[in-house]
Amino acid sequence: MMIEAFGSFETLNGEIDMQSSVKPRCFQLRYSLLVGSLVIFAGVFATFIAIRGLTVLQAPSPDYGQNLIRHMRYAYAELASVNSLLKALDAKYSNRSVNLLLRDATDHLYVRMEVLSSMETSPVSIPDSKAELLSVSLMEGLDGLLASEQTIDPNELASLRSTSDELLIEISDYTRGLEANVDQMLKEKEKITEVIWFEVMSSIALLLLLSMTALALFIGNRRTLRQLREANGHDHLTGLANRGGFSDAMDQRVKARNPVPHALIVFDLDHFKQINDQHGHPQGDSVLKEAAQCLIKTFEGRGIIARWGGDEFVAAIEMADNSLHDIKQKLTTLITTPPSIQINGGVIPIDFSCGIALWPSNGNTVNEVMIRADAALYEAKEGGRKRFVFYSEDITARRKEQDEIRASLSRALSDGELFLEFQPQFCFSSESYVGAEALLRWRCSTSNEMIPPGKFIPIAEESGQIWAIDKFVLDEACRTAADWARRGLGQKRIAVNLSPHSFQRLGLAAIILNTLERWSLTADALEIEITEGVLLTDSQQVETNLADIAKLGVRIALDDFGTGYSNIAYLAKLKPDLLKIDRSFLKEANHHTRASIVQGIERLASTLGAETLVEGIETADELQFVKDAGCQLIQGFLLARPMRADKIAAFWLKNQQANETGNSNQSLLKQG
Amino acid sequence: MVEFIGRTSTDESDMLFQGVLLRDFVDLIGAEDANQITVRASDGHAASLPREDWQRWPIVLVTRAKGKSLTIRQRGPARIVYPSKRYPDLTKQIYDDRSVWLIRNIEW
Repeated sequence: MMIEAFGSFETLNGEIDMQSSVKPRCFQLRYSLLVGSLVIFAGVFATFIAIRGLTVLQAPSPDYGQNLIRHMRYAYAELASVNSLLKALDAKYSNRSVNLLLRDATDHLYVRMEVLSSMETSPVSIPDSKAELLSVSLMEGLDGLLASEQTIDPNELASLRSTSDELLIEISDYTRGLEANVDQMLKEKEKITEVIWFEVMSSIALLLLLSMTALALFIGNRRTLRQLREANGHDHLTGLANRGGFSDAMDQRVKARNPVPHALIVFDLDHFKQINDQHGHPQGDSVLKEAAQCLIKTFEGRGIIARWGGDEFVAAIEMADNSLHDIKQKLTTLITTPPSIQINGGVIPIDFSCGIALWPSNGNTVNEVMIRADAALYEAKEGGRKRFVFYSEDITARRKEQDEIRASLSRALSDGELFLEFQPQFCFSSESYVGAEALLRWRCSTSNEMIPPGKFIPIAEESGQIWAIDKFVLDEACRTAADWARRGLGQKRIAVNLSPHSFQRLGLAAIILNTLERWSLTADALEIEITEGVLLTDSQQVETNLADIAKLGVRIALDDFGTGYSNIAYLAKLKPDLLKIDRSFLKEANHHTRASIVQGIERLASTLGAETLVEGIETADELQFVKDAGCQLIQGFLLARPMRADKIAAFWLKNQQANETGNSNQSLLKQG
Repeated sequence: MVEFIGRTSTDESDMLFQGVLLRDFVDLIGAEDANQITVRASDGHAASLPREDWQRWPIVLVTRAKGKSLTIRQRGPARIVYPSKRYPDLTKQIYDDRSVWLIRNIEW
């Protein structure tokens, strides 16, 4: 069941597609995001409402009986003035002005009592209350008193005075009570406000706490979901299987009763790091998703596809009789028509490199096969990416050999396992040997085998050991040349090969000069051989180094001329002193064509002001041919093989003697 | 001069009142530019009436009842009456407060 689930590849779009029988609860990320935002929004909204409520609560309320109190105070004042006027009134003497004032005061009091009696709560609005009875009696008494202007009954006046006094006390007491009530109400309101304030603040705090908790739960949930997915064997980003899921599924397939052979394909996205750096990780993630989608489409339903981590994917594809051919075809299509993704308006192709190894034919366990597929992937990348490589035994052997070489190279240099051999170079015009090319050799002490430079030089260049090696070669070659001069073997030029990497070094010319001075050699005794590779790196440092070397007076030879692209513009700029012509043109069967090629090169060389040297002269015919063609210098097995330092000294000596006795090299040439 | 039957507050009975519209009165006394007028009563009460009040409602400055000058007991000699019967919006404490009676003077 598990296998089928992984095999279905319908695992994108954030859905967990597991066994069909037990569906785990799906938590929709987008949905939970909405819920989370809603919770936060609700919290903020509630807080806003609560704060608004608080401000409303704090606003002063309009009426706490002030209206009644105001009327009571007016009533008190008006009654007080009536009271004083009554006291000023004398029963015996009629006083007109006091009467007028009393009438006015009585009228005002009348209006006030009218108002008060109509109010819902007032001392005079309760029928038959003491205040009501007193006020009615006072108003009637006053009206009676004012009606009978001439005669005032002293008893009546006294009764009125006492009624007025009593009513004054009643109104005063009532007002006091009213004020006390209002005070009480205000105090209670204050208390309530405090309580409500506390409650609202608590509810705000609670709301905040709740929303924070909800948020924390939400984030926690997401993390748990991711962990669950990973534990379920899924990659969070692409929805493919992860390592765990892949291993489990593969395990089951391997342990099945009739296991089906599988092809394990390791994919690597080319230049993924560059995309990440240039466009940011979110875009990198989209590239990974697109790549996953594309792999699913390519191998629809025929195995397991997993994201191995980073930009690496692994596919295990079931193999039937004809499927190897089928897989090749699919990979070819995938690589030649790569998927692409739009980033910032530009279209970026998603290029794959892949390594393929077969289970069980390339290894007993899945792990073993994976390692081999990885090795094949490494080969594919080494071979220039955008390709697929099937695992073969050679790959392992090559990898193993390279690892061994890398491991023993530094030891080789320090233990003196590296040494030079010298191959003489002959000049037709002077009919003598004019120099030798220094060739690097390595006899490995552990295997006691010669390791050819073609094998270890690329590794040294990759590991950065090449600089030390080149310095060794330069020094050793100059030392040997100095030795020849010291022993009176004549001025012989020494040609040294330097790696293109060394030309990137700062102060290469200074080191060359230093070496020359150390061995008391003149600059023209040294020739630096460079390959076209040096010219192809369009670097300022290389140009500076070449110019500085030329300035020293050291000769520059262009090696393997005629095998590469030989850009004429580069040639003109470099102005080499010597073109070393590769022997490949000697293979040309047509004598006439051969001759034309050489003449062409000769003309080019003379235009550049360079000499020519033909390498690899092996037969007398070839010797005769190059001589007739007008070449100036030759080098090859026919004349002399590369030899150790002691041997070449003897070779020079023998030649010298032969020259002196007149038995020159002419004889050698004549033989040819 | 306007006439209406009504009562000026809940503690009175309906009566035939006569007076002038406050907006006419304001023009008459040359207070048309005033933003508010302050009305003071002989019992010590006072209230300020904003211009928008007399512009929006036909507020009456009552001076007579049944053809005769208002007595003190009729809360005369002059009183402000808001038409709260026609405009129920005016049944509010602030308009009751602005319905000044026993008017002694008007300032602006």
